[in-house]
Amino acid sequence: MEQVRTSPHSDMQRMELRGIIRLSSEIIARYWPMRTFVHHNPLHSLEYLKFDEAVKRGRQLLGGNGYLPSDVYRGYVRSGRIRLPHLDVALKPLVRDLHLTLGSRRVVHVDVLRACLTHGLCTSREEPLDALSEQGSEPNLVETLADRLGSAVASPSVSEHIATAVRDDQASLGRQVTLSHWCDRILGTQIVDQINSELIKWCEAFLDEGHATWPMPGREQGFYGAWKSLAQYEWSPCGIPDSRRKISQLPDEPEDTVLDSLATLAIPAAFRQDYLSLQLAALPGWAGFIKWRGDQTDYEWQQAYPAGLVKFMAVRLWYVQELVQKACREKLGIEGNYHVVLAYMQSHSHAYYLRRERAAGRLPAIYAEEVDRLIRNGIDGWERLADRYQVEFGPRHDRAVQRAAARRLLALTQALEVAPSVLIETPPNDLKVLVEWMDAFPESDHGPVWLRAFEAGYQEQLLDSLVRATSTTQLADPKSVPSLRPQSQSVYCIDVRSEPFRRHLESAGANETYGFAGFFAVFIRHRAWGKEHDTEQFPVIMRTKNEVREIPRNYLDHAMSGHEARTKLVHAGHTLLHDLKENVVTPYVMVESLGWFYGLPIIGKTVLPALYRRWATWLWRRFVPSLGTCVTVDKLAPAEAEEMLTSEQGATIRTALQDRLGLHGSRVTPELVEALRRQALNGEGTVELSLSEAAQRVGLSTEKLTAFVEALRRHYRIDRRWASAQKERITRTGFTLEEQVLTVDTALRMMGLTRNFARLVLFCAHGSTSENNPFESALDCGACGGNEGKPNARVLAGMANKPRVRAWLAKKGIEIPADTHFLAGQVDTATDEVQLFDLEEVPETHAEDLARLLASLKEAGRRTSQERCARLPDVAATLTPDRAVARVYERSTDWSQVRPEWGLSGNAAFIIGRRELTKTLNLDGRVFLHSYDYRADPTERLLEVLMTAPQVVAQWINMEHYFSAADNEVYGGGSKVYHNVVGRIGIMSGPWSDLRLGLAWQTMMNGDVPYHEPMRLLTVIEAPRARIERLIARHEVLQHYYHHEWVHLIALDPVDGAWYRYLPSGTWSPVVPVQV
Amino acid sequence: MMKGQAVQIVLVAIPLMGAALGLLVWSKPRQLKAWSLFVAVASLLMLAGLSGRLTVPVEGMALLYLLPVAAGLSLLGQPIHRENRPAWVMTLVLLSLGLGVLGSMDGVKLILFVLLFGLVGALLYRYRSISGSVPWWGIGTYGLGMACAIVALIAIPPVSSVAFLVSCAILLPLVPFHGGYVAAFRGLPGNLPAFLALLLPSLGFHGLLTLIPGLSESTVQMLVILAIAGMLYGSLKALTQSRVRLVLAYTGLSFFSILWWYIAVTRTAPPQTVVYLSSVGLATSGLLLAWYAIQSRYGDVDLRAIRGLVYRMPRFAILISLLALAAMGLPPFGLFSGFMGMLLAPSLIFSGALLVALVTWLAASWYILEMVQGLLFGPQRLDLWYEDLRRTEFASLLICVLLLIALGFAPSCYFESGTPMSPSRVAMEFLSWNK
Repeated sequence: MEQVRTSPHSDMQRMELRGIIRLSSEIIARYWPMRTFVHHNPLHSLEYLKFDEAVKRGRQLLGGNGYLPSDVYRGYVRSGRIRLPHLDVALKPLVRDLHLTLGSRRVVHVDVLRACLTHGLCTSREEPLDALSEQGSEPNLVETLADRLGSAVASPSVSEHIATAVRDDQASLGRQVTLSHWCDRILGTQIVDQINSELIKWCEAFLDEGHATWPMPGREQGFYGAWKSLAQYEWSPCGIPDSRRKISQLPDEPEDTVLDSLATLAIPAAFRQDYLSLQLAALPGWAGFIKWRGDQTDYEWQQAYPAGLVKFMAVRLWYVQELVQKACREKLGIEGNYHVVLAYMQSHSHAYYLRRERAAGRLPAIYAEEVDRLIRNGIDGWERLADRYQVEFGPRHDRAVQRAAARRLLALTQALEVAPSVLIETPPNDLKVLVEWMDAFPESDHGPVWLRAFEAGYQEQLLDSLVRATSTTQLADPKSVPSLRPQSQSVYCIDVRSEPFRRHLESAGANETYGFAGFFAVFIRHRAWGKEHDTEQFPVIMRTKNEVREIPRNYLDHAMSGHEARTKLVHAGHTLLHDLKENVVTPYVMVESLGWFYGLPIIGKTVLPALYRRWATWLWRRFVPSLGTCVTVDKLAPAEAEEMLTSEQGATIRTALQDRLGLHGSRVTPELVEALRRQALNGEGTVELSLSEAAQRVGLSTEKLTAFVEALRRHYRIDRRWASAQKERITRTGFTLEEQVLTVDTALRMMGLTRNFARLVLFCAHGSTSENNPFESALDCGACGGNEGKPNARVLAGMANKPRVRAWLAKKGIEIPADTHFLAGQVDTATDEVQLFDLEEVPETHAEDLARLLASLKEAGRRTSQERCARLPDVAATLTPDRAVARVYERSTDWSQVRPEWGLSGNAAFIIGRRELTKTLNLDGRVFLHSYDYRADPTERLLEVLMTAPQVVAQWINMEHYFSAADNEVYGGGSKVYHNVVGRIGIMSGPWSDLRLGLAWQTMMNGDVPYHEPMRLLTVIEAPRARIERLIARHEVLQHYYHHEWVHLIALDPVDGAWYRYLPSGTWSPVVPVQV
Repeated sequence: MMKGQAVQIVLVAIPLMGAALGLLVWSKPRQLKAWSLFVAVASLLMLAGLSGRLTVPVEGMALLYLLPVAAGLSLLGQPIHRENRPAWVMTLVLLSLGLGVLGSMDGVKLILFVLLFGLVGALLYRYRSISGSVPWWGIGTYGLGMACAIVALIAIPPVSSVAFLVSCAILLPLVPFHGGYVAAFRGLPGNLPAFLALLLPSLGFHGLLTLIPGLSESTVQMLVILAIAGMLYGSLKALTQSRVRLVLAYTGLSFFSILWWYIAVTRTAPPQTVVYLSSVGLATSGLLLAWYAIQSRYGDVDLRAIRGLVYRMPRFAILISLLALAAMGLPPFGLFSGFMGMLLAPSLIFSGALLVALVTWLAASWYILEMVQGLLFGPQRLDLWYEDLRRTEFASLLICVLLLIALGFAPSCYFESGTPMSPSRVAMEFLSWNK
């Protein structure tokens, strides 16, 4: 009889654990699959903390820097990008009312702090103990000063170091340092790397979404189950003894394994959450993806192969527990658990300290050897060695500290423009005070100060130009009727890349432009023609119930069949080549026979990429002619939905008849199909007479018929339940008239386009084209969930062109003239070309308007390309518009190009207001622009949406760029040069790494300096302050943004026409420019 | 003959007198370094000028020329610092002894051997760790070397032969007599390890050549076993070290063990062995000098303490990478051509030991690359001052690299003796010591 295994853990404990793991994962940001790259804040879950605190927490757990290196900021000071008055303002909270005299110079506290920043005086540079070459100038002065400092500046003794090390490490164990990390630091093991390596292996195999030729078996058991079933066949992974037996005896539930491991490691309940956070932070990429996937209950891969952080943690902690035990037993002879390790640090403090210093490489070489000898021989000479170290190196340490202090003082005199010799005359106590001031402002505290000064520079410049623009521009009264009707109106995404294009389009003719989130308030799930998967065309923080499909236009049915046939042929060719490549045997033959065939594209893409793409596109169009399509805007009537469902089921039954019974052609009559369908839907009742007769006509016995109907129900899902679900899906397609009116009304009102319509109104989405670029989706529209916004533009234009919608809108106060036609288009941000869609529907009367618009769009694209080329790093000279157009096209086709465009890099601000505020300004493509007229929004409903949706998207984009630039290795994606796509979900650096989280190095950096200047988003809103305050009070997300300094907020209050800054304290302060 | 001896005396006297005169500028490190450098160059020039009158050593003139070059290079890259002064003067003294050994014959050579062992041993004692740990193993090895040289001087064969062989095994390191070689790398200050990296093996090799014909079969068998043990031991020890000096010391041991094995098996020392020996010595010397550039900035730190130098010290990174390639035995450097020349010699027969030699070679690629990778890549320490190679350091390493390339391309005739010695002549010379 099989033994029933009982778990020692209760359901309550398991539930509690799941809660702890969920909380512990807040440090890990969700990781969306690469194909729909979603810009997000890597510290999003910490937005309830102040920005600076969250950065500290990120550093503590993830090891990431939240600010640029000080050297880079100093470079900005030298170049004038950061100005000293801004630095003084940023330093103000730290300044104390202290001073002393240096020669004849009165030195105040702020002078020293400023010098610390600008001259790097607080960089804790270690002075070598026995260097034989002098650093810098004036070595004698350094020695003299060091003598003067004497005992005033001395380093702690070895005993003090030991006491401090033990105290600090005991405090941080479990909270900031895991036991595996502790072993690595003290014992010189590589447990963290070993475990990461194992987890990468399992995650890579398990989470694969069709990339692997041979998928991992047993994935349907979930991550933990699949690992357990396979890992027990591995031979001693990571050198864990008896691993097969141990793994096979693990509990079935991952929660039990986690609880067992935590118990073995004796992690106190008080900081289990921190401990688990540290475990997740060791592989934030994979853990982030699992976190995302765990939340996607409808995601097909998740449904098929469930993964979750509890399962991930169970696997990870098992390795931790085993390897920590092994290392502690073998190297220290102690149990590898929290309490024993804590006790070891206390009772073997000398050995602990020397081992730690040895593993970190901080001991002089001869002492490192001595430590090795003691370890090797198991001799207890630790205390003696520590004493000897103190005797031999103590005085040298003291001298090194004095010398380092002397160098810093000399550098200070240079910063203060004082003769270095005055230091010799200054009393040692004053020198000591100066050193203390510098010590009290360590480099780790500089980041926030630098950032504030850095942001102030840009904000001041932007505000200055906005103030000037608003003072010189007479803001139009919205109620007054404009005298001129514009030639065209077009609406672009708020994306920063739209700003230059809009500017150039406006300058190319009487074209008005508007900014709006690129999904145009159209929440749809879209399936393109010929595709098998839907794309979610809305911000990831939203949900939808509407689906839209791209379908061929009816009158092209004959072309459609040809198109389909040829597409299938190409698809079959692709599949064949793929199968030949992936097969075990065929590649050997294939390389010889077909290898040359690949030479042409390789040469074409490498040598003449632009020409090759044109040629390939031409060839494709010759072979598979393009097909006119439209989108299904209207909802199907119930009868139509029923008909569609019947038709789909009929097709399925025909396929089943052929596959299972070999019936096809004229033998399969419509009556038979319909009878079978009805029988399958009706369930297990008696066979209908009509069906029996039809079956008899094709020679089917009753048994066969019954079995076939059962097969239809079981294997082909022809039953009532599934039919109901299908019908529900079909009815989700399209919008009702009410929904269409609501969508168009909301969109037009939010963008402020409610009157004076032009004859042509263009909704212009955006996308980007590049080659060999896993980050391509990051260049598409963030508001469209990392997809192109084309479907949204088509749907909105389609809705707005409907007379019934317009009639309804007229009742709501939006009168759209009959001669206004809405167009859909898409700008390619890599080439600045605009493509217009559904031109079949443009009235003939608008041909001239259309030609004029096309010309303006082309000219705007040319000028935008020229402007963009000037910012690209490898384009030296100023190009003519034509050459710029050719250059950007070439970049988008070049498969070796790591930077097809700068994308959203450079983004810094978000302006919610009328275009009149910014129309005369060149904002350098750094500002998100959302059109908004506060006077058309008396209930502040629209502003509420803008602040809680587009602003959130902008902040995510901004923070993604911020952290990717601040620390590209931890928060960013690293260099593209080493990237490899893994599992169709993300990228790794090289063949084996964590999933890379953010944006690539090449997207952030221009050489060694950041192209993207990492600054927090500045939101500028043209609206009464009282309204903004009400909205902030209503939404926690806004409180987090502004009170915790994740976003800066400035308002142009139309009540008094003045500019105000919203302070973290929740009050307003008039904007006063710093006197520079 | 008298003329030859006079020339010999001149060659020995120049660096020796240079060292003595250097004491006059002892208080001025800059002048002392310049003077030492001048003396090394003068020795080289004098050697070139008088080469026609010299008795050509059995291994040819190459090593004779390389000694002042190596001394000059090691001096050139030195930072000017008071603590380096003894090393500079000692370099000249050791150069004098080295030139004397390579150029002289008979008993004088053995006397110089005694002096050399004594001097290096004394230096080891002088520069023992402040903490009091005396490198007794190294000092003892050199003491043994000195005793063996004395025995070789006064005893009769075969005792003298065996004693002299042990002396050679101490200089051209062979397990278990490698302690002195390792201790010299580990404990001597300044540029001395870099110079001794070429000097000691050259002198050992020179001595060994005179012994080859007279070695008995059992001695050869013993040497082969010791050489194989040396290859394996050296590689394993190098793999586990965290100090650059020790990695290089054990690398040298493993590479020189290959040379011992080759000479013992083939009983010949074709020009390729000289190329090989010179290249191993020079590459080791170059790497030690490169490391000294780091040591002079940060002290004798553990290898793990310094990372990511490629970002802050690009010139250093390039040169140490080239030196590492040379030390690993990759083309186009001398070690590769020397090693290939030895392996392709018709006198070498395939054996298991050959596989061990090849594994030793491959293992060197592993640990040398790991060492250099560790230094150049990985996270850089922001708490350190960085300064790329100074001009003299750069020049010294660059010349070293160029020399290693030159050794790879130089015709073998440059490494042959003008008057090739027959085995009988070598044996006669050897026996003549005891008359």
